[in-house]
Amino acid sequence: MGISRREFLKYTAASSAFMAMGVPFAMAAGQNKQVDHWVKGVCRFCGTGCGVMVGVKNKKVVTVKGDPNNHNAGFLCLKGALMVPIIYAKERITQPLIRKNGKLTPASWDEAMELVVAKFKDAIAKYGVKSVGYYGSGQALTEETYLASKIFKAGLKCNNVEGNPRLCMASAVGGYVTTFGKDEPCGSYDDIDAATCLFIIGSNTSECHPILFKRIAARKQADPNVKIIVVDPRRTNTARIADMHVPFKPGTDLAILNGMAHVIVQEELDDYRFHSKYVTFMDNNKQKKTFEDYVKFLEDYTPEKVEQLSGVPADTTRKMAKIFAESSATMSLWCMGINQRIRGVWANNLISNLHLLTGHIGKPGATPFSLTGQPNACGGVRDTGGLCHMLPAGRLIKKKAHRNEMEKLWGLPQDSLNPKPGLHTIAMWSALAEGKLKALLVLCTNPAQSLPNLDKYRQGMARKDNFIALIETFSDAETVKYADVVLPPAYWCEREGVFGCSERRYALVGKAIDPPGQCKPTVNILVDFALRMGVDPKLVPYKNSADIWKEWRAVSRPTPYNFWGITRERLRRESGIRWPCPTEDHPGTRIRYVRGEDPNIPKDYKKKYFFYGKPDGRAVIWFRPYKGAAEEPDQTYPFVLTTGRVIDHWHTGTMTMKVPELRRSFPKAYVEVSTEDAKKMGIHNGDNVLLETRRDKMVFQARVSDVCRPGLVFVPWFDAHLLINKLTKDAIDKGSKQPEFKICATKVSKA
Amino acid sequence: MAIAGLLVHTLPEDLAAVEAEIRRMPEMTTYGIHQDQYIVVVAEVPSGRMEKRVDAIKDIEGVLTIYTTYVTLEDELLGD
Repeated sequence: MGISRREFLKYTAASSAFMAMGVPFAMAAGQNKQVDHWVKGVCRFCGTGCGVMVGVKNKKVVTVKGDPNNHNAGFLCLKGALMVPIIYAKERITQPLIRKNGKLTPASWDEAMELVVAKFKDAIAKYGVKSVGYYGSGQALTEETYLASKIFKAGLKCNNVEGNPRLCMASAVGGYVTTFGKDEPCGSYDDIDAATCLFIIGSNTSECHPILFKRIAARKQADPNVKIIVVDPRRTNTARIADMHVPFKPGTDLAILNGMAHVIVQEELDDYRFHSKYVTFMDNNKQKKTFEDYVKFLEDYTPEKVEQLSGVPADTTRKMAKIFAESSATMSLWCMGINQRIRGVWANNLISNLHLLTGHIGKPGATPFSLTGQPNACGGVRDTGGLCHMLPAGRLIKKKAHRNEMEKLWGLPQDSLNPKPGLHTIAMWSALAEGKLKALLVLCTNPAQSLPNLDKYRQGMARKDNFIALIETFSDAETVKYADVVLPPAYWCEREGVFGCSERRYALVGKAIDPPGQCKPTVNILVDFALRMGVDPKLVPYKNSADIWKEWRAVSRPTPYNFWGITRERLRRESGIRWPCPTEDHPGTRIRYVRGEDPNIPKDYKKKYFFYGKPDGRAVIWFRPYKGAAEEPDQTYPFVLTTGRVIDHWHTGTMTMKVPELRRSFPKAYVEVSTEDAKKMGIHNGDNVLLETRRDKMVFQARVSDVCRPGLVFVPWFDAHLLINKLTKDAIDKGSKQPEFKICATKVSKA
Repeated sequence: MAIAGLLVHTLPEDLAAVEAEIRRMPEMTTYGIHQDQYIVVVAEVPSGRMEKRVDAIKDIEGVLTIYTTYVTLEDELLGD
């Protein structure tokens, strides 16, 4: 049979779609012929962590397809499938750059590294270790974050170690830790396939996690009795497949969640047997309380009172609560709408409250489950302790026992680690703006676009009396404008390492090709930095990321994280493994805190559930009162501005804007205005609209639709030419220190 | 020229109409309706126009979303 190459490629494309559905297709086996070899990896974008296969031909990456053996079962969203052109973008930085007379000019590695080290040493000598820091990323490899954190905390005794997950996930961490005593979700993506109620709040899954949306939609398709509730002030695509879309006044989510709890206890839809056995009730002052106290606390949240605050009709709250409680298995999913709030930790607690109250936890399909924004925020930063108050595997800097344990594991003298937590993200960038932080190493993130209230922090970055060394792939990233030295790393599949996604699944990103020019794996850059800084070579004895992975497994082993069984060899063989995984023959863990499922619980433990993160083994239902946004709309600034993603772009657009298909799909940011408001103000599609907040003002083109509720406007944040974060507010959650990106007050007028 | 494998996720009641509409597009080849929700489509489009063509499918009434399972840019990258 003779077919043309084009025909062959077409069959290959079709077969990939069939394989994704699990349907055999005759041409599938032929796929391997068109590339020299395939390398297994993980998508570079969101926290879904889809497995990919990278096709290499003539030492170049020519194609990317979904890994049928990973959780995404061969599916990818358009962004993921179009990663190839990004690798070969003309904006790739391929040699070290030093700023001379205001201009970045090529330099040798030696020259660049010497300058970085001289500046760090100078700052430490003059102002102490508190004057230097590291700002990392949920996009760096697990090994990179572990190493950077170790170099600063163990090598330099400096706890100014932060990362952009503080901007996206910190409230989820705070929520899990306060409710269960340990970070990270109890359940996994498998729960989507078993849930009979999916309660989605503060997440536009269809655009931000398209492959999980597919799984949710497929669940509904497979069983029409499955109920989907979407609570979101915008009528997003996610809301289109919902049985109930519940729009509400932004900032009133805490009241709504308490309102649902009120209905559940009043109508006796709670699982009394479960919560009396496994739950501690606790008020906001950490005082133990009773279930009856909780019922009393909830009296302030009758559906009628909640209606006045939130605009959600009382009957809707009742209906939601009933569906949530009465379903056989309810799974909650949430993301930045909940986390990026000044009471993000509380909002996280209140979602878990509903699960603990109704017993919808620890059974297939029943779990609270937070979604992550970046490919390795859970993995690299949360689990290995890449924040200013943390040590690896859930240990805390402020706890002496934890420090001592790490000192032993790292071969340090007892009590030698710095016991004082460092600066959290906003404090760190404020310190830079105030001239207190003198030298900063930034890895794989773009804070000059991603921080809130940008003008303030960009002014800090622009100061002449500080020094910013940036490890960055692309020359057009906003932060490059402020860098004194830029070091070029190997990108994505140009080096090997591990990503950990939302469901505690760790998978290997294999090396497919060599990096271009003088680019080096970040692990090697960091080891070089450490040695030049005079860090004890015994602390950084690594040739590559595999050496670090081995150490990380050992460091996690005495904790409930336990990665001991996730060997490099298994990662190469398998498409991701979920921790805890204590032995090489352990399959990984789908459900935590349940005997028989979670390997941290002894087989002969007397009860079914064990919330071992808490001293009494019980999870906590918290009495968290309603609290609005830091900046509510008023007469002068009558609208709420919210920000977020669009399906075709990711984060600050440094990658997706390099793909012509994606760039043309959404070439620039816009403002979404409700039809009702647009009519009142005489705004039509494409009109220029001025947004003005207390921080800055900016003009966007209007998109008029019924997506936003009246009183709300939305702007996506990917566009470097229209930096919406100049308008957002940098108020932070007191517990998690995460900024409230999702709500600020704005004026809206036709420009 | 780029070639892409697409799964078009469609509301069940609109499947037949959506499939017929896609079949009318010259650069698309359809491979049937599956599992009462998906249409398998292969797009053969110069990469510069891929987004426009995929968007045209997205705009058809009843289409929920499109999953890309495969894209090859082999011609453009290797120049053969």
